[in-house]
Amino acid sequence: MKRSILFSVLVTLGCLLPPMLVFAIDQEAENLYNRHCAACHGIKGDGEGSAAYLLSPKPRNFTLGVYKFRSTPTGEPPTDQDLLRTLKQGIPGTPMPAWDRLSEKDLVAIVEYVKSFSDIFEDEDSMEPPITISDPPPLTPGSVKAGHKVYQEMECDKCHGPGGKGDGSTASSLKDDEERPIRPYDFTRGPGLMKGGASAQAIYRTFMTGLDGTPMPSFIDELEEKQRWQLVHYIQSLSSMGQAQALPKGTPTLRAIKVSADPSLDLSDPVWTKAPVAMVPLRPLWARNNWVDSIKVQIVVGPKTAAFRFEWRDVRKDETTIRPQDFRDAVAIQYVPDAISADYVGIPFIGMGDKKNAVTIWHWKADWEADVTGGFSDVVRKYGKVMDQMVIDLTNEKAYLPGRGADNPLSINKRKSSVEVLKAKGFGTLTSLPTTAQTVEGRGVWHDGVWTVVMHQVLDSAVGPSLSKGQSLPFAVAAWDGAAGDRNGQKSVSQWMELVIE
Amino acid sequence: MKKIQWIIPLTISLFIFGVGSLEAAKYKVIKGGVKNGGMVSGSIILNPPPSAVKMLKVDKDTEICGGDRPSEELVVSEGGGVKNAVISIEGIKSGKKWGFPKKFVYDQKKCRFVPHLMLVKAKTKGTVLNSDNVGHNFHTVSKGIFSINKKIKANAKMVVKKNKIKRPGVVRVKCDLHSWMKGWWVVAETPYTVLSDENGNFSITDIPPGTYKLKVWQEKLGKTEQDIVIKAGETTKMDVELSL
Repeated sequence: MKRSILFSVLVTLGCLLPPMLVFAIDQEAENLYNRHCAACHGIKGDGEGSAAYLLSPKPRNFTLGVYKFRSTPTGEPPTDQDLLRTLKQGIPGTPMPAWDRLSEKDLVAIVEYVKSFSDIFEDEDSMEPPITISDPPPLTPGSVKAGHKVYQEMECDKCHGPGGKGDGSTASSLKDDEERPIRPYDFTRGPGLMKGGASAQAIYRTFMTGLDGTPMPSFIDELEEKQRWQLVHYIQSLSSMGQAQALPKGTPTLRAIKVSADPSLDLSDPVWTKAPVAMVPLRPLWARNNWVDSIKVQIVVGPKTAAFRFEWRDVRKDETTIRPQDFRDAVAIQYVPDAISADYVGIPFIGMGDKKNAVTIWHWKADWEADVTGGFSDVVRKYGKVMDQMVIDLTNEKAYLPGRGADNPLSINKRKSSVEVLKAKGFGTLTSLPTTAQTVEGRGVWHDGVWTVVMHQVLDSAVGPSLSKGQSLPFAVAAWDGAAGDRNGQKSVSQWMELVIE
Repeated sequence: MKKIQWIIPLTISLFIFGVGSLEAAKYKVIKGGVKNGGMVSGSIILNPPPSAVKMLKVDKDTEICGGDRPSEELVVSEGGGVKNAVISIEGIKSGKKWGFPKKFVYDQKKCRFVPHLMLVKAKTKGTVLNSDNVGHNFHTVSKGIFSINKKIKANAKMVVKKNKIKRPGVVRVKCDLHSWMKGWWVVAETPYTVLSDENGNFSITDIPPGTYKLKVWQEKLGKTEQDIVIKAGETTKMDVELSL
């Protein structure tokens, strides 16, 4: 009798164990999601995260169960592979970063957690399988010409325009499912910005399954197989000359080399010819036509000092903020001081840290650079003749004393550095460090549409980071284009990268 | 052996009960129909009636779509009767047979959805037609019910398989090529869901006696609800007055 009771109890416990295990795995996925995804996609997965107001396109509302990039027919939920692909690659030209540095196990767990926000994934019996995509035939002038005919027959020109520029007759009236204005893709921008992917198969998949949630429909019943590939070839021909070529996929690892001679602030220091160059892709928080889409980064560590070098394209030099309509060019690095590893489990949210982990930011500003090299610039410089009635004489040192006494960084009229050191525990908490801790120096030169900037720091100062050999530091970069009005949360950002000291 | 005989059936029945409770929310048809059911009938009135009808700008493919036309978002008769309001009785867990069409047909004629508002049961199969000489993209917006976007070329059709309309709720229908086109599918929770006619009149029959909530939804006027008491063999008169 006792054995039978024991048997029944064990069987009951055995039945309870799998649900308990699932619960345990969910907790880890939930933690990862809340840490890295919720600020945009919302704790409830409804796209109403605290940072959502800074973003365009808006983060996906998972509770609606509607997904853009799928290999399944329109109206069907995406496959796990579809979600993993979007998660790993990110979406170019949008704030959605690439999460390729997360482990496969974590990626799968996050996909399951994201799916749990909508019950469309539950009716597995009625789900339709992904469409078949065969090998693409070779592109020829004939297939491109035929593709142009298909483009017109299918009325693609009504939205995408006769030349594929996204300027069709209906383009200005288009709204997405949430009634927000949305523009059709301008194919002439280039293949690098096709959100669903730019390969022949990806283009095929996009118009065959449609982009659910947007006005882009599925053409699955409209075309014969031959016509589909002709259309793909025409689209490819429209975009081939576009400037936005595909950026390197995935999140780069930054390698800092150790050198025997301390690097200087000099932009032409020979050490930069030896240091490896990382091409870091940047994403705009608010999508637009021209943003800083990539930046070259190099890092060198000497015995006593470390230097970071940046190079990025910017058509116009913006080095003043005096008038209300002036915004400056800038570049910044962000790292987690005291980080043990660059593993995603331990690092804070990319948007300037979170309550559990602070980040340190070094922010180089073009206008502070102009202050250092050309003398401090205050309102009198821009509005001199208008300033007759000014009560405070800004040429008198005394005008700055109260501000300087309160450690206001804008009251430093003898600016020593073009770099400001700040700390943050989440966006909205950005704080400048006291003057004694402002030990990072900078040098920046704009020439012929390119900014080159070096940030220079003495190691073992109160301000980190400690860059010891073999260390792996979570590291990110951001850039601002003054001509586009970039400032604060309007900027281009990288994903968390691993900075490895070799 | 006798002592464990209650543990195993208990565990099994607890398991079945757990699974079974998931199905408790779904509507059940009473075999043999509703005995001594009651009825509700009445009108949906808009007081005061609207002064002017909103016009929709028709500015694409005008040779086929025609010119500007009155919007169907609020159709009110001379007597103030509101057409196409959705009236439903909330809180009936089991009752009469559905009696809804086994197949639906939804059309696009002269760049207009026909009917403007369609009442349908979940999981019904059907066909979406394009009776126009111009292509439309059939685009539905919903939360987990039926969210699809498919190009249907001129004089073609799209088949909607059984089980694709997943659950009760409201689906908004549009065409992005012709942005004035607007339609609705209301997927009913129970067969006690009807539409008001062009005079605003409606009636719902075979209601098991009891106290329920009468819910009214109109696409422009929004939703309202009222308590309603249904007595066996009697007709409850219920006029609902809406306002802009």
